[in-house]
Amino acid sequence: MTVVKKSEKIVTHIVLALGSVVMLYPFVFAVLGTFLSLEEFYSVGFLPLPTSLDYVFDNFATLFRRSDIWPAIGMTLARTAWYSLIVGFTSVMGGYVFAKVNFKGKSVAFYLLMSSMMVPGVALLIPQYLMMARFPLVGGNGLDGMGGSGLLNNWAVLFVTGCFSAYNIFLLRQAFTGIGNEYKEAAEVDGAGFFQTIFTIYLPMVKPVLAVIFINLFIGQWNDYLFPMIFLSERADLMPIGVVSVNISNDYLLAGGSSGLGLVNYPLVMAISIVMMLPPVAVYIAFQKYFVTGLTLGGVKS
Amino acid sequence: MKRAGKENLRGWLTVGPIILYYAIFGLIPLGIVFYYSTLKEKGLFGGTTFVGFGNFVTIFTNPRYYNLLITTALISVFTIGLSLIFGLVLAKLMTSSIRGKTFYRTVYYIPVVVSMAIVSQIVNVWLSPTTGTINNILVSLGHERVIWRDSVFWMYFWLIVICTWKGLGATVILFVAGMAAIPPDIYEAADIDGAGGVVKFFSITLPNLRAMFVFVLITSIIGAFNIFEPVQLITGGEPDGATKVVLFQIYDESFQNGNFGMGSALSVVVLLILMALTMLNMRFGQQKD
Repeated sequence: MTVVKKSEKIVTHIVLALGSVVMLYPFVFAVLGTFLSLEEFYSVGFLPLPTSLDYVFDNFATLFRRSDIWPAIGMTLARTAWYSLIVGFTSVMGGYVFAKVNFKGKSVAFYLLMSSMMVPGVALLIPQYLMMARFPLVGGNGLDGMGGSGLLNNWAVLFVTGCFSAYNIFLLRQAFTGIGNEYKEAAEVDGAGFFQTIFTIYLPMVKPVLAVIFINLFIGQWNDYLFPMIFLSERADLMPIGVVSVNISNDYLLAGGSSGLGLVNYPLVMAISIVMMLPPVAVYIAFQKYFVTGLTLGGVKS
Repeated sequence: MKRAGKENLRGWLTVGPIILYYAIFGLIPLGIVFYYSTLKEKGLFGGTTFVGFGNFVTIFTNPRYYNLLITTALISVFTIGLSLIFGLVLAKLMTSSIRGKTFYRTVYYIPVVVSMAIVSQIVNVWLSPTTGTINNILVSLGHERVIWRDSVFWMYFWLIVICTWKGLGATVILFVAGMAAIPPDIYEAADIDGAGGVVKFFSITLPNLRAMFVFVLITSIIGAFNIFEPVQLITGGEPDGATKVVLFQIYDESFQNGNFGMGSALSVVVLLILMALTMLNMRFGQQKD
């Protein structure tokens, strides 16, 4: 019996390990690729095997000397900070009020907001674009929204949409509901105000949910591609890293790529890939227990 | 009484602005997309004409458009099928009593958190017709170079491989969570009855995963409608538009042809399909409780 079990375990490990190789292959390939010179890369097989450490520094130095990479990272961090604050605030307030405050019309308000989860983001891409283009009183537009380009190609467009998330409100409502009312009542007896009760008593108890929200926001912002590509199409200088990383890799992927200065240079495509993939992977590995919580918390009630 | 008034005030001062914001940035665009779906536009400055349901008739009668739905469906059938099979097997292996489970779960989820766009660019390095890595290998083995972009089969193949690779980790984690929630005494009872591993898998594990199964299925279909980057960056919709998916065409139609009317009509079709699926998910998800 134990012999069978042992062989079963070995097979399990072999299958999972082979799968892990498949999962990690592109990352390993990219990391090793940054160690090669362009000439070496032309003869690369399944794995780029580095022969020296001469090129890796130059490859990353060339990349980081580009004028477009730092503003892009800055823009991405600014968006992450803004959305962490605003989505964090609306989610905490909304979640708390739906969990702990009894007001007239609460369930109507709740279902109205939750209904927004049924509308897929892809379906709103075009109308949001039209709306931004016709946003009144900005970008040369009149009160009727005509005359200019509105919020398109304006940095503000990266900050106005998605300031609340029904899903996050739901997550925090669940978390707050799970905490008893006695804290709230005790706080009232002690004369603590509304905000004080939320932010000093209840908030520390839902830190894991806040971590989930923050981590997902960071990764979402870091990888954001389609939205900024469309809404800032004429402002390459304002693009976040998700779009700029593709522009940079195009420069090296296609001779004379988008900015016209490129030579095919695959090691640099690998270098920008590493820069692009490292932060979300690092955040994920550091906080991975929260990920499982986030995936299963609101998704399926079991 | 005063207390109730205070609660109402607090509630609505908090929720009111969120609802107002939702009305502006969620409901107005929803209105716009339905309104625009009845228009036809000839380029950005070509003016608009009202065509009623004309765009929808075109979508469902012109192969150029209904093929988008078929392409999206084809890619999702293969991607979802592979994800479900691999996902179930891997999750089952990861819930068995072996060491290093956490390590495997971490590794398999890594592709989920990275940018699809940059993954597509790495694949472009592999697939480049002249200097691509795979062609290097083929040439060194004495084969001809393959011009991947000219082959419908290979473009589908790579799209399916990339999407499956990228999404598998999420499916696995969800199934692991679903399997962990099954009470162990059911398995113990089956052990006493002398049921084997395969029997237990089909008679206990699978039926108990039903709600999770539906959830994974539907989120995967929603995910399939979100496929964009690999199509834009790798296939470009080629060859001959065979790999154009819905979202790519929405983008293409609106921003390349300037026909926001058709772009909106396609968006409405996606909206209705996905809303129906989400409702289905809610129904099945709740039956489990």
